[in-house]
Amino acid sequence: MEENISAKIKGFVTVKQEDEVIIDGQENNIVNNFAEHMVGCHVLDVYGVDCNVCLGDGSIDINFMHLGEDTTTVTSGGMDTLVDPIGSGNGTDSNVQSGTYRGEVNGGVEWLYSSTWDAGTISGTVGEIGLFLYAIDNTNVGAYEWGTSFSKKLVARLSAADGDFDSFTIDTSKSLTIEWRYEFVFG
Amino acid sequence: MSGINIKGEVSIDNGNNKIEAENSITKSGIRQLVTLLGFVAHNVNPAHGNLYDSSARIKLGDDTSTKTALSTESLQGALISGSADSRTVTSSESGGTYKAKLINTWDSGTLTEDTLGEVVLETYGLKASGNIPYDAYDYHSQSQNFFGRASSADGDFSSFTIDTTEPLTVVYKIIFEV
Repeated sequence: MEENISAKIKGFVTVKQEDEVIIDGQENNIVNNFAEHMVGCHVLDVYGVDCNVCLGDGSIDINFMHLGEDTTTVTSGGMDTLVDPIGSGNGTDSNVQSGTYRGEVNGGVEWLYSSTWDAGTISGTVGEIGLFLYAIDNTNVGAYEWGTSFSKKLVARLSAADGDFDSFTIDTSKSLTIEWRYEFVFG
Repeated sequence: MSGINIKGEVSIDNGNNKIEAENSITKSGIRQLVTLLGFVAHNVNPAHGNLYDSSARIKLGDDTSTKTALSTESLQGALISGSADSRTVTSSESGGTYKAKLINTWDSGTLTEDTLGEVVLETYGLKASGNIPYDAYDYHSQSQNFFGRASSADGDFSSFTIDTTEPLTVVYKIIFEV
């Protein structure tokens, strides 16, 4: 090995309304919560049975993604929420969601989150899309928390303000699916 | 801010030998990190952090000729015997840089007078199997897993003979940069 091997996490987003591709594999903007979560997973004394620190322990209803209408605010590292969510709270929940380890791809490994809103369940003009996880926000060593005590936080965002995509109006006659793919790659 | 860079850094302090080196992360390392996005640890109570768990450890070896490969999952030479006398885990954050550290110290006289040519970090947690897809709700078991390695063979540092009259401290940092 001539050089040290470093690694990188890169995220890519695809948005579809049934057979129409609206955003095709656009690279996301990762915010600080994502890196803080990775460190927290190394130093916390997480407590819980069958614990999944990102998705809750199974008693928590998982919803990975939310949509917003903001088109002017660029992503900053300290963001916790979308600027102008569609719906209450973090935004309207999707109807179906999944998380899958996809195995080795291109020399690295890959993880895929997917969320789908049924036709007619969400409407508006989309200017920002957020990925939310039950991310650990406490990097204090040995901090003692139940696996179910983490709150859902923004970890990555795609936005029109960042030039990631042109804002679009949701076609409420079609379902909306977002695939958020993470590559763990070398170099 | 488009992605996160992941690096490993190793500090070694043993008498007159004071070393700052970068490590190499391997496939085994990233197969552990990907689990932090959603794998379920089965029947684990409590599930400690990957460095916080007392099974996470730093191993010292005497190899000076075998370079690290993506597939490397162990020391390449003999383990230098002697259990660490203390272990500490710390974390820090500054701006968009987040660090987790494991610090092991061997007191003077604990280690044998051997050549230190490689340093390996083993974390304790979940590890994805190579090319086998999983649903997020499948259960997995925790284990000790190779994360990364700094070695004289890779040119990370110059090997040296351990001064057994002095303590030896290794700080292994995993760094995430947004």
